[in-house]
Amino acid sequence: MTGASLHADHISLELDGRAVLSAVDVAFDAACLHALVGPNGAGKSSLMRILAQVLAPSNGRVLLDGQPLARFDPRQRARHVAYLPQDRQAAWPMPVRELVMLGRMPHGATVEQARPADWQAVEQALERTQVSALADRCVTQLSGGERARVMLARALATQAPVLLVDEPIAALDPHHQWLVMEVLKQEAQSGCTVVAVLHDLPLAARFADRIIMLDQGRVVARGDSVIVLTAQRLADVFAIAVRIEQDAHGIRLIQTGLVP
Amino acid sequence: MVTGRSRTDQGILSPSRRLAGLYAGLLVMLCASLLTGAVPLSLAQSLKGLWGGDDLAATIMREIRVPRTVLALFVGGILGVSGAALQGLMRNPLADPTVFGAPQAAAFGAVLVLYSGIAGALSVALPVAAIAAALLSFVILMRIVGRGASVVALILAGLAIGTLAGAATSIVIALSANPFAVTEIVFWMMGSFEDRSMLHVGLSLPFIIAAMAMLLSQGNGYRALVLGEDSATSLGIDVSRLRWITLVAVAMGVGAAVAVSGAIGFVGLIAPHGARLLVGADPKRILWPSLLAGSLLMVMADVLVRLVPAQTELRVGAVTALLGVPLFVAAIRRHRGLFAEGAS
Repeated sequence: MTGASLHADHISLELDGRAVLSAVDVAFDAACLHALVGPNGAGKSSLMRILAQVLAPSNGRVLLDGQPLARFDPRQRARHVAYLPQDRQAAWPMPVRELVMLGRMPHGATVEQARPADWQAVEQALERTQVSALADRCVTQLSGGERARVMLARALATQAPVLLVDEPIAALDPHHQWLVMEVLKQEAQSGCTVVAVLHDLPLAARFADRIIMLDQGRVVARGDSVIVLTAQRLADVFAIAVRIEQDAHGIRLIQTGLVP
Repeated sequence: MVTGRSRTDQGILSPSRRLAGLYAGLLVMLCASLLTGAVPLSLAQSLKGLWGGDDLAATIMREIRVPRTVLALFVGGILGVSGAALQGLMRNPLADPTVFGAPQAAAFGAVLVLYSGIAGALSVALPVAAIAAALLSFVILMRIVGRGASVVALILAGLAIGTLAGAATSIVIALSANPFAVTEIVFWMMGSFEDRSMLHVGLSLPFIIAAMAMLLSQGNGYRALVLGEDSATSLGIDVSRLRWITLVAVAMGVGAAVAVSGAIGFVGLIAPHGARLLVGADPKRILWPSLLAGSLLMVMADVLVRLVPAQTELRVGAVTALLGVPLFVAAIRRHRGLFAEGAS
């Protein structure tokens, strides 16, 4: 997969007179897994919605390989940027396989008119997220964790150069959290630009190539985990006490308490 | 790896075989509608009257039964597909064209014309007024909520318009000094295909067919909305455009339908639920079966009102409501379990 660089160019967002994002300027590179971290209300999901062009910023723009994403035709944009929002609900009881096929819609495919390549992309996505066994089940009958993986499969099935995933491991057990992080890492290694909102800082430190930390709508740190995830910064931003250890895979975070 | 899975493997064809039953039922009911009426006609007389001649049978067939059957077919169809489209748009199995106030506004426009007596002098005034009122209600709706409005804002504004139109209709009826006009209004409001002519067919069908085409072409959008507006947008669907196309089509189609048939309730609610039993819940796949189910229900109800002996012919709106209320309650009970969260 050929990746694409995504650039949040001085993005600001105001909602009801409140500044949600303030001049956020971040570049997301191809072949790189970016973890977007920050406390609740920091503006992470709003930034993701703006990057996916489902929310218009008050100021600033999103550039894809230097071109304003807002000028793309909706379907062309959808082929370049796949987005998994926080909301994992399905309104109707549809079979899992047909729901994952929605990911091929930007390529003009539907269940009724899918090419072999589209079915192949769907089956690959189902396998990678380990939900092939659920493919004929009804999505509304799945558990929250199973549904979360099905929704990720839907985003993966698009095979877009940019993948935006908002809290992809929030509802998952530890086994599937690790599995999903490995899938995201593989996507990045294959050339995709991956941006994931994560609350699990140890997993972010373990898997992400770059970490972008938001607080109160501003980027407070960016870089690799050693630079961003310092004990002092985590105390300042998250109000948590953390012991940091170094191992062969990078740093390990062990939370020891709260900062009053 | 499963590649190029056949459509049969995906379970696509079996529902379409089930659809054959719907087509067959509709065909039977269309024949029954053409053969049922106050004047008993044999099958041979009916067929002869349908294709030629200028005797009584030909007059009955071509000026009474054919327009009546065609109107029931298309009015039922537009109500059914409108319900399916609105349920897909709003991601809600209990949505119905009435939620946007267009049918109520259309009824008010028609009642105004009946009240003023213009309808008696100029028959074309009734459908024109109803369609104009439905479209006006849509313009007002847009003015209230603005472009890019949420579904909740649309529902609330539609509720306000529908309530206002209903109240205004009641006031017009109360102010009417002519008891015959009141009777005419009340009977019309209950919905009927009695005494409709090819003029009604010609006036309403262009709007109804255009609305059907608009709604049937938006299936991919309704399907993408299964995952919510953000996901649908990220899949390349212009959700705002989809919303307005749906509203314009529903206002136009349902307005034209109300104009020629009066207020007929519950078809837009029941037909999509019937379609789901046949082809599953996919919002795209239920559009056409909902149209057929709406047609079937309406033609069936219109045959029933002609079969029941009564002083005056039963109103088809009353029959669809009688059929609809138990089905509506059943739908609520069914969806209470169907949409429950899965085990965690």
